[in-house]
Amino acid sequence: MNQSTTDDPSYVPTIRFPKRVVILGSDVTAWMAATMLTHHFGRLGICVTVCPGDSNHASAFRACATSSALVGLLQNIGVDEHDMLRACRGTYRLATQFSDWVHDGRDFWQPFGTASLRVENLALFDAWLSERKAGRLLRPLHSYSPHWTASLAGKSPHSFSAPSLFAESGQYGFHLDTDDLAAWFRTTALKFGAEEISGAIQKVAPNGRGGMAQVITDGGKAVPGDLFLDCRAISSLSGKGPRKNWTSWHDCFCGDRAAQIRMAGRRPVPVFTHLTGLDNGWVRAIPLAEEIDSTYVFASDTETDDQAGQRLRTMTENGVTAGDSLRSDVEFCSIDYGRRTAFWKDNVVFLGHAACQIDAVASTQLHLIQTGIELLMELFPDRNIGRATRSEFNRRMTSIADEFRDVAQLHHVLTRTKQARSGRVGRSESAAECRGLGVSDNLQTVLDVYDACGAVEVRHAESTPVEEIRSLLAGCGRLPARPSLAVRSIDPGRIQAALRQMVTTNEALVNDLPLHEELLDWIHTGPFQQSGKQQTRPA
Amino acid sequence: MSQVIAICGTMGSGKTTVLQQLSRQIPGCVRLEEDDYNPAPLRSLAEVQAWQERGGQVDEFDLSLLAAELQARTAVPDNLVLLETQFGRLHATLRPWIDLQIWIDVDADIAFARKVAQLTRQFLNSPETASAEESLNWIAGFCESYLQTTRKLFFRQRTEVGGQCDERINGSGTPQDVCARLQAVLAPVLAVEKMNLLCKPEFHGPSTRPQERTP
Repeated sequence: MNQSTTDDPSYVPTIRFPKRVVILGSDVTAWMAATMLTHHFGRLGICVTVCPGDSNHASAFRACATSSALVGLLQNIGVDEHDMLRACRGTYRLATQFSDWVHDGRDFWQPFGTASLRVENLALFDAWLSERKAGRLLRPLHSYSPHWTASLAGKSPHSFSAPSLFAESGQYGFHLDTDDLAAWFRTTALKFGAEEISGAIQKVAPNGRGGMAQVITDGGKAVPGDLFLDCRAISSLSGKGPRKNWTSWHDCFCGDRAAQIRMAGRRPVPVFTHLTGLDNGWVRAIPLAEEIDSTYVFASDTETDDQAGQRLRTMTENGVTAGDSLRSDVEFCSIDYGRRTAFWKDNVVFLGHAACQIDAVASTQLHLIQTGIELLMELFPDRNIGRATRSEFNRRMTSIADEFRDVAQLHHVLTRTKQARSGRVGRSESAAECRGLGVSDNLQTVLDVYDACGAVEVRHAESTPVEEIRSLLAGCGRLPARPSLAVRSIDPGRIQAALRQMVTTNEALVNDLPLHEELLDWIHTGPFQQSGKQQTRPA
Repeated sequence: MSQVIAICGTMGSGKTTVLQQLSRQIPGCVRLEEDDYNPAPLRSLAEVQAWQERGGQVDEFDLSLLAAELQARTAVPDNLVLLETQFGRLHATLRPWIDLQIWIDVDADIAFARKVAQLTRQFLNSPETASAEESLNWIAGFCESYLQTTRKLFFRQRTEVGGQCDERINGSGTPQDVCARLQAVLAPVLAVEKMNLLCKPEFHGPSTRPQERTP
């Protein structure tokens, strides 16, 4: 964002913007867009009006795990993250733990912040791989991450005394209740000046060019606009055939249905997301402040809702909570993976579930929503909404969404799910298995290059960092044929010493941090919350 | 470079037996037992209950002697240390020293039966140490403590220590079976010269899933 436009009170825009922006929808996407647009463009005279859609969020998960991008968003709009966490029953997130992902019994982690870890000026991955290939290293790659150390120690990312490494780097995320997050963004957007129209959308009047002219609510109120952001969750799952203007990714992911359940939380409160691989899908456990939200994504062609619900109950009751009471019944939703063929048509921009539905395994859905809104703000049109702007938005969003899809699919490249379903196990067959699941040419190229020399390229800065992708593949046990040549010029003894020092340093870094639940208590129920007075705040 | 492999499991999981077997197959490796370096282990049911009531923090046990031993052992080049531990990485003192952590997973009923059988055999083999009545009383007390305390600790250990492991292997079957599974896990990651010492088993035994079983 160009901050100069908002910081200079004498600035008067000379370009004619589409002044009436109408947002259709009531989920996180709609209210996040309203918040960001009103905060950044409100003083330019742009009015943002939100017309809530129906409440049927066809594929909404009840809890979400965010990337570190949301930390940046909150700083960008000048909001205290503790306010959001309080409103959303939130907890912190430093890593993802994968259990039984490649095969039964194997665990690995994907911590935040691996991109910044270096050994002798080399990426940690290259140094680690060199020693691993030489048979001189047992420690897994993730174990050199301070985020992993903090996850095992149950520490929070913030200190009460001084800024922590995690706070300074901004490399952490959150676990949040999705509906609460939408409500919190709504409150924030309204505070920033957005307007909300009461009543459901009854009709959308076209403008004759393939776009929209106005929205008619069921109270008969007409809401005209210059630019419309359609964030409504459109379900094509009612058996009416293929969705129009929609590129299906159904053949990219195994699960097409999700079972969700809430149960009472326990202590210590995990500071990580936990994913467990199963033979017909995968289970994600998200710790909220006082609850654990578990979601089982499964393939409906081989498991009924009843079977999946029973499986989820058994896992959560026996394994996770040890008999703690369930807070809700199992709820089900269908997932229609894919994206729109065009994200911007005339004066209508599609965002969120209306634009793209991606597998939740990589916890990138919210990041993709945020990316779409930020791209819209970067390319915000003049009043004519020219073809070039629309084309550029469509081109970039298509490319970004496809890359997010590839990263999500990468999580499944070596999963037991696929192996179990194909009846084949073994690295030599993985590529064929991938193709059988519709792996894109680009993803296959990424894997081929990685297998050959360990290099990975991502096309977009918004995407998952290279080192996180390499960390994921290494965690799955997929290692390149050889380490980087650059690492051979370094004495292995120096690499070993540096790696050992990293472990020691990480322990020291997390030693003084408060426990995760100590910080959560301060945020959710502490004296700050009860008295309204500011106590010693985490740095 | 020296490496530390931690073998974890509940009481009765067979970790001692398996480590004895494994250490015989890797000449020169060092075998350490956490209990030998714990100056204040919990010996009675009352002590365990009191510890739980204090919050059950594993860092309460001072394992600095073990850490010093690990430091000394890993200072020797190319040493392989096999550490039998009930806490593993959950204990902050041990965490930085453990390179690879493996959980031997057994059902609680199997672990319990194994332990009762072991204790009974001990009494039968050494009748001079205690009378039959004393022995039966001891076993009865052990069973009662299992119902009151140990069972919960099993679950907690499986969740918290097992949840921090890199690998979980199925601990059912004979010690040879379990050792073969352990070798299958270690062979791909150990140094070449050590790897040659380990036979390559035919299969990678499936582990049972802690989340799906009753604690």
